[in-house]
Amino acid sequence: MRELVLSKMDLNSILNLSTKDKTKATAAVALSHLGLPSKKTEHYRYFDITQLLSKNLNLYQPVAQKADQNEKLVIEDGAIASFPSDLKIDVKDEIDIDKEHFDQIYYINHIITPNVITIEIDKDIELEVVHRFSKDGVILPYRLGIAVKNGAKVTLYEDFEDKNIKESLIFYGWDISLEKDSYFELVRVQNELKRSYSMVASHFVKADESSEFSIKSFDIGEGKICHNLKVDLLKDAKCDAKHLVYTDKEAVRANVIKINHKGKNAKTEQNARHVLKDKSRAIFDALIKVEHSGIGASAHQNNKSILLNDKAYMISKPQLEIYIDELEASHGSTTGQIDPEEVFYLRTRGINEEEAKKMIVLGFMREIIEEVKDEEKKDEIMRRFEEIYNIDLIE
Amino acid sequence: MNEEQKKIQEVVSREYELGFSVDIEEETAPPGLNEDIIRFLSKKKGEPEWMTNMRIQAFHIWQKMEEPRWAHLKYDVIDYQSISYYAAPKKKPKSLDEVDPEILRAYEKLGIPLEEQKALAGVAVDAVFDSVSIGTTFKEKLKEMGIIFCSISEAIKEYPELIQKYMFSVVPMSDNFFAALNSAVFTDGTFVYVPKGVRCPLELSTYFRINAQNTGQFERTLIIADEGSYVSYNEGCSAPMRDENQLHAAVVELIALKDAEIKYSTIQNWYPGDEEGRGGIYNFVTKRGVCAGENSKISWTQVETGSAITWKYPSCVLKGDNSVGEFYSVAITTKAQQADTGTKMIHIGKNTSSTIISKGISAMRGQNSYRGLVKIQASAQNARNYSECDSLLIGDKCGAHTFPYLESKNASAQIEHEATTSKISDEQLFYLRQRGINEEDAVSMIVHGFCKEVLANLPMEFAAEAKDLLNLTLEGSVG
Amino acid sequence: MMLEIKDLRAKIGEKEIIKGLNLNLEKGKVHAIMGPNGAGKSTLSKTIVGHYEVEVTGGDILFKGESIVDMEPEERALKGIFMSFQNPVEVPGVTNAYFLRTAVNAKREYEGKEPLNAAEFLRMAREYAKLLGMKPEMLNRSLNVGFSGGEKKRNEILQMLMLDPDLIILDEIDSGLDIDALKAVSEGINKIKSPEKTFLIITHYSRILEYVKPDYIHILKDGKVVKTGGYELVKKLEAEGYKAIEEEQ
Repeated sequence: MRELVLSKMDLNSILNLSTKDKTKATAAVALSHLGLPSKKTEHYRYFDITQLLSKNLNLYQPVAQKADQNEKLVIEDGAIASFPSDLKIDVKDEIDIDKEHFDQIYYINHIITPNVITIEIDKDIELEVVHRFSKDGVILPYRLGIAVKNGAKVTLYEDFEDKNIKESLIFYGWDISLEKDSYFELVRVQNELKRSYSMVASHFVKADESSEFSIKSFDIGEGKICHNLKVDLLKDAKCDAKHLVYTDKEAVRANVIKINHKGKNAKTEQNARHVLKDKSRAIFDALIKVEHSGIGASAHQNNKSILLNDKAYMISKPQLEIYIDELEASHGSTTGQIDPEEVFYLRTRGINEEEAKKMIVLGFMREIIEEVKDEEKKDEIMRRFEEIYNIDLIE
Repeated sequence: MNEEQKKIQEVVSREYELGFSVDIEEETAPPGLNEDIIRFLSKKKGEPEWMTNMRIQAFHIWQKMEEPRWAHLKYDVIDYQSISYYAAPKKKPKSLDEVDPEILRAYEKLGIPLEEQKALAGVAVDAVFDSVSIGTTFKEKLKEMGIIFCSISEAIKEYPELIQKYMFSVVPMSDNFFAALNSAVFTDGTFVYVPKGVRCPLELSTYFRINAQNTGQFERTLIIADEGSYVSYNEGCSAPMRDENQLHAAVVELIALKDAEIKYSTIQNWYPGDEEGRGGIYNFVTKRGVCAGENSKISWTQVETGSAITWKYPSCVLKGDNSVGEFYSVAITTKAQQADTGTKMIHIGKNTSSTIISKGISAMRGQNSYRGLVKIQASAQNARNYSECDSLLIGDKCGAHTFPYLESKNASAQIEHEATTSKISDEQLFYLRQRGINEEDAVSMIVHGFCKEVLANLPMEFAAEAKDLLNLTLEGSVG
Repeated sequence: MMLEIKDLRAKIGEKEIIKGLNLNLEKGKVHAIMGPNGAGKSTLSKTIVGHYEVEVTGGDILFKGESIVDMEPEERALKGIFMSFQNPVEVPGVTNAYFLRTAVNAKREYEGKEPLNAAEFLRMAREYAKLLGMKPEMLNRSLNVGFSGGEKKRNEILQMLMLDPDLIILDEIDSGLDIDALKAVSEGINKIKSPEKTFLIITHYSRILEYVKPDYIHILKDGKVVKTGGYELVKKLEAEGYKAIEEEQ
């Protein structure tokens, strides 16, 4: 393992880390246009990327290991540890990547990742993916690719586990390609009860004609974690994005999402909820862009945030960038405390103040959790939120 | 810099600002910017040494800064060394016959009196016409009430203690690239001081429209409303203005002390350039007001129809408890115009509240961006913000963009933001046309309805001008 | 006496709205408070249930002989005070059923009773919902979210029936109701009526009073009770308006 302090490297030395293959060459070209991320990078304005990149960390390259067969796809320190037997899974040097991603880390991640774990799906399935981390003090880069074939319907549950690792910085992300008429639902739960690692994830979704991309993300607890997501919607494609974030202690959790209407009659529905406690910070930076070719778009975005105490810091940036008149678009954002009228109403029915607040906050979060279709998963997610909220109340 | 100013500076992030500019035709001295030019300029204006030194200091700060490029604007690199920073009055046209007929037609549409037309077009006027004597009369009246209303150049000489206390206190010279440039080379502008408890009985500047013109491309305005006072100030006018100077970088600073209120209204109609965007004005303006005392209020209302590039964010720093900030804006971009405009509301004091109503209209190839920051500091108990940012698109080649930044560090504060983007609905249009209203009038009617909330905030006389101006600007955008 | 209000003064913000109000509500009786807009009707009901915006600056309110002005809203509720809100707030994500059960069990716990289990609770809730002409699905929807005016009022009455309070304040219960909803709501009210309960009906129409006959009418004006009488006062009001009553004094 060699030491890699990204902030001390110039663009050229990072570009030199890339090999000759097509993916990395593409990434290198794109990165040379974007330059390295800095304090001035708009999407890292409130997420201190330079501090993360200035750590002295060793570059850990995932090592292929003997993988078991299991119901779940388990990825341990960036390598496949187990996978379902009927899954078409492979490790490739080259895949198609986005040439116009907004995030520098997307390209850096591709450049320093030796190869990509790829999955090809041509039938209707549900898949569980677990990411496990066990290495202290490393930069761990890995990438995953998924191709959903014509008409297939896929639901993917993504979860994270770690062995209380220290100081590691993880770069990972999905490159998702949805063929015509396919449906892909990503349910991501990232529950960090102890602050153990930092993560910058950078994803790209290309949704072809009449396909649908659905993401339900649940961010809970601590850590410095940023998810950058770019979605390209072609003709008649749909994007349904739901985000629920509950942060506490000194967490910094960011969701940066750019949804791009490239084809006509595409639709986006985006809803986010944030609940912030302690000194935590949450960033919701979401742009819907409708290009000139995106005629007939329908794009709606909404974010609601509740601050539970004064040291918490919410940053909400709902944005619209529109280049065509034939469309409907709107966004809304509210940030505030638990509505005192709601608390009062419940109290006049004999429910005590603390209980009333808890009911209201859980109800506020439930609106997003209800979007998960699978009853068992839904209950499991609700339980996780209840759990952390209860822990907080006892403190 | 005292503690308070430091605090404001800390709070107001530098990458991002506000301001404004006005104009006229001028002739040039040698192009380029260096210490010698600044000394020369300051000397020509007969300024005291401390002012010259301030300018030099600003120049050094500016030299170290980079031009900001974060706005949603595309324009060619500006060569600051090719610009003249000191200009002598130019040879004026002898009569209206020598003036661009296009401009004359606009004057006519806007119902501007002939004498005023001449002045606006820069025609040499021999006879002293009414407005000057009216101006003198009002100046006398204001003087009796203790209100100071004069050019900033005059104020530097006559009221150095006020200038030294307040200039750069809201917009420090290091605030941003364009503010630093303005601080080094500002030509002229307006100074207003309203003493304690005085309610200024006039809309300032309406009567002085013509005289106030010779302020040049780097205007600097400073308005101070002392405790319990009130003033309404109107800037600009609806008449289209030509200017050979492509770059405008103005700075406006407002200070409202305890219980004071400042209402600042703007109509901006600089030359927008042709359909390719050639020849239009680049307008980079830093406007900011501080509600320094309790219960103070600052209200910005703007109607932006001109300039090829507009970059301005009239802002309020709400420091005093219970202070109020308002921003009402209509911005229209047609042809190849680009606007990146909005506001910043910085809540520091308790129970502070702010309202933002922004209406963007894009037509032809116009690109219109709203960019607004609402920042609630941890100290701002019970702060409230409400923002509404709507965009109207006319035609399929234009763009409408909304970029709000909503930051809250206080749990008792409430931020509410709403935005919609739409085109004029076919049903609305059809309904009006079915009742016999032609398409252009129907569009204008709908646009007026769309902007109503903002126009209602303009002083009456200004509002009538703004209405005519909207119609004129939209002409030819439909269909 | 169910409720005694003695020389009550209360303000919202800087504005004094209740200005030395006296009122006694008898056990087993139906009292109605009428008065023009701005008389202080809503503030009075808010003061009784302990709204956070209202500050009591003088006088006292005794519920069954005990002062309640310093009590938390939930404490007053548990002791048996219920108010039907003129415009109940929407609480997204909290289902009606979950909310109701929590409230019912809070009261049972206060009274030293075992909590209702889910089945018992549902049986009871469905029965009352049926009586009020509410669809059973209403119980699974988020509390008041997207409810029509009539649905909100029926839902308030459902809560009243479930919580079985002793003092029932109905704030403008009849505003915006169609005839069917008005009948359903009145039926709910008449069901709970007994010699043990006291009603305080706040209204500025007499519509609801045709269905729930009041024993006493109190006219409120400028933060005070200016006249008390029987049902005949309603007729007089209808015929002559508030002005006539004012002039009488």
